[in-house]
Amino acid sequence: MKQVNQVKLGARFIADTPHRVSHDRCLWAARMRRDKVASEIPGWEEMRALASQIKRHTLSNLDEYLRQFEQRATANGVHIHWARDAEAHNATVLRLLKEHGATVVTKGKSMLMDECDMRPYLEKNGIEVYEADLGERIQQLDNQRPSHIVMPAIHKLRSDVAALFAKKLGSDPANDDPRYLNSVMRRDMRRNYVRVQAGMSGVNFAVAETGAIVVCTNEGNADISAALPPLYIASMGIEKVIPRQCDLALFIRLLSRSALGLSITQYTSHYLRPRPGQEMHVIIVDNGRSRRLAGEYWEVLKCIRCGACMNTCPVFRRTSGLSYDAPYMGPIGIVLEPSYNLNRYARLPYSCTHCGSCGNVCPVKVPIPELVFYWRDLIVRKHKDELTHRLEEGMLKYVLLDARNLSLAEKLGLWGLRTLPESLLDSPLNPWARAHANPEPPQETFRQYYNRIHRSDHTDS
Amino acid sequence: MSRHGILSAIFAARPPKVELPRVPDFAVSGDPLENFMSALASYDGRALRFASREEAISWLTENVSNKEVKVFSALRDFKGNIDRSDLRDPHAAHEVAICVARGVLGVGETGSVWVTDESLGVPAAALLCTDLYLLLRSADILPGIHQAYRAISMRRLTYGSFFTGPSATADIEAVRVTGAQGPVSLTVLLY
Amino acid sequence: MKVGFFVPCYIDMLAPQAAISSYNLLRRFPQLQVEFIEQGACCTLPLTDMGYTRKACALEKNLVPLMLPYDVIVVPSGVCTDQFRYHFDSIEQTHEVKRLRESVFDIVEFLHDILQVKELPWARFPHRVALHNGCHSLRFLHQARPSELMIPDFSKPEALLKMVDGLEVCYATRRDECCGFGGTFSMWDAPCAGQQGLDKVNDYVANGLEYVTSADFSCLLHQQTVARKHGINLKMFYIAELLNGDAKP
Repeated sequence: MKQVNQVKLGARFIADTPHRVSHDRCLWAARMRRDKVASEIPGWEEMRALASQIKRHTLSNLDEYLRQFEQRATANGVHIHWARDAEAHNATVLRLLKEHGATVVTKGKSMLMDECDMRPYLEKNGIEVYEADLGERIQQLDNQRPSHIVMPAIHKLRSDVAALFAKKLGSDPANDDPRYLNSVMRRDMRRNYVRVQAGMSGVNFAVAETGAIVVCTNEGNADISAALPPLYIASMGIEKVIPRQCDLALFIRLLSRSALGLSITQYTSHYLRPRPGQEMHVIIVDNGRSRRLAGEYWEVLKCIRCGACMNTCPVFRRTSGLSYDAPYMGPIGIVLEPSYNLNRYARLPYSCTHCGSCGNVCPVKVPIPELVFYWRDLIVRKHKDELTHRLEEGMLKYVLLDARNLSLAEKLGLWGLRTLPESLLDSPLNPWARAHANPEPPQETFRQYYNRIHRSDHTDS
Repeated sequence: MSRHGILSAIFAARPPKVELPRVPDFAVSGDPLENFMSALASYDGRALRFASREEAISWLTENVSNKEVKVFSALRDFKGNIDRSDLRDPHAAHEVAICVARGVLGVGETGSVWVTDESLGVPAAALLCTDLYLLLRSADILPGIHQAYRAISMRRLTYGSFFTGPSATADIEAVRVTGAQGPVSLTVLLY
Repeated sequence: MKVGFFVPCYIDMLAPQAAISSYNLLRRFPQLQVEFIEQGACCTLPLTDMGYTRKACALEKNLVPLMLPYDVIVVPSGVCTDQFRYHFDSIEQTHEVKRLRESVFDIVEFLHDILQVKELPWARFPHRVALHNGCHSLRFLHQARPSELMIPDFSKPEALLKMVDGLEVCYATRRDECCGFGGTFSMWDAPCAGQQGLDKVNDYVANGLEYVTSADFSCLLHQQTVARKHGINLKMFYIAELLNGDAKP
């Protein structure tokens, strides 16, 4: 499979100034709101440390908590299914839909279902699937994956949405007021809700103590999808389980503050049992997670999918989520995706300036900056035979190995800066010149200065 | 046997044991009722205060009953014009314009109202209506989320949710719009 | 106190003034015997940065004997200090290597935490100066409170700069957003690095700032050359140039 070239894809977005400026402004504003609300409640850093420890504890006892969750949920009348991978997950969903004769499905946002490529699979099998989250629906209509895990269409301008809705939903192409566009979506979805036969959603948290699954949305779309039809299916990764209800309090307080700078999502909803006349199914999905748990990078499984790392990432804000060409994007994406497909995503860990901001905003302290180095190291070792790597490595090692080589290289470099013609210095052969003017060469290096001073010291005495 | 396979793979992969920490009650400063009112307003919800439940009900009778639209009420002391039996198939709730129901408790920190399948009567009506009215005792407003979860029992619950303001979205250029999929307005009647 | 002065490769070649000011500043303190580690070459950061962690080993082996004779090693560069402290781990971690790693300080830390400097009577720069905290100094060496963390406010470089007569410390609006240097990133992903750098220098300009300082000259080198490419005129000083009174408007 072809390697994803985030740099190249990102460059296109960077060059598109109106989109880039809007994207950067929206996400930076979310980061600023996050700072404000986090500063307004006491104990923020203590909460992050606790949340991280609870996640670490849970992952170190994960099989036990999953068993406990399964037992409680089953006792509540919920059907539990286990899926080893994406295919098994999708097949389970399709089987359940077929058993109920359901062909019209509305669904809340679920990163896991996106990860499993569920929607195209169901559509191929004759199921009508309607994304009920506005951003996700926009992306569905545009045949794109979400560009952000919390704000799926944040890379689009309102004018893009107006044009898309006009084409697909017959709305007024000249009206790009977000209120109007939202009303178009609302009207359209109401038509689907009236005939919906099965509802689906992801899961933010599964509480082992009570068997509850918790789904957080601002639109209430998951709630509607669960409340109307006789069949409700929720899918969760194995890492979504937490031990107790009191832990849930902590995560709820962290989640939306980190994600959008809001103290809570408008709908923070708990599903424990099917309502009379309804069936409720929860699919617990592995899809590589147990393998990740065994890896040195297992702490990626602590992630609660708030998107704070994306909002703060200087690279993500300027290149947008689609440039990562993967279900998970931004900082968490570049340390998660290589574990799905190392070759395809081998370049992603290099889309990082190593500024460390993602690690600081992460509510569960996923050590993203350290994991970036982990992957770079691994990728170099796996691709050690590639010529470019060998060349880079050989040159660097030689130049940097001792002071004499280095000072020779410096002399050569400075000579080049002083004497080579501009045309050559600014050519594509010089990777620095693409974004920068060339540095002005100094009169002398520190070494030369030191030797000069040192010699004159000696002469003085 | 995917269940067995997954659980044994997890067992084999478990990282070193870490203790489960105690979660303290993080204090929330300020008066819960005042916090509730200002937090709710920040989510575009409206709070009205009444001296008694009777006053709240009579306000509803004056302002809600005379509407020529479908009104569903989950309250015993306030009648709508559509019955729970009419909503046996929840799909029918899309006709409900106004829904009146009971909040179980409030959260000062966030301006949220905890509602359940029982307190809403028909959750679908509270989700699909245009205007949602929730009655809540001021005395049932707790300082924060930690205290709320301690007070809530999940036993016998089908569905429980913190409703915080009306349905909203910011998915287009991060512009906040209320009335995304669910209610366009939320009014909390405090007594 | 025997101080080994380590000059990073990029400083030696492209920003010798940063090392000269740092060296002369250290020599002002009579309790210090300052020696330039002449044979020191590279802290191995570029290798770690690109993923050649295992290959850094040979370089690290070379450096250890050069650095052992000193009580402390002072480095005029936050990123390189970070490398010694947190990533100098390709070689066996003997007692000596561990002690060595603990004895490396960036010049800001050395002045603020070890020497606990209270005044810099020789330094004067009566201008508004933007302080750019490089990401490694800020988030890994903890020289100041990063805006993400909800901890009490502090800033070591700001405290030092306030000892410079007449100097007013200012910040860009996005005070600690990364400027896009990122070591090899600035060449690997030139479009993004360039955009980040341009956004940063435009932020200074929007705030009417003409002078910029940092404890990481790598960031300044990036910002300055991006600014020049776009015809924006900003003057950049390594922090020691201001602290030693060498900076000229």
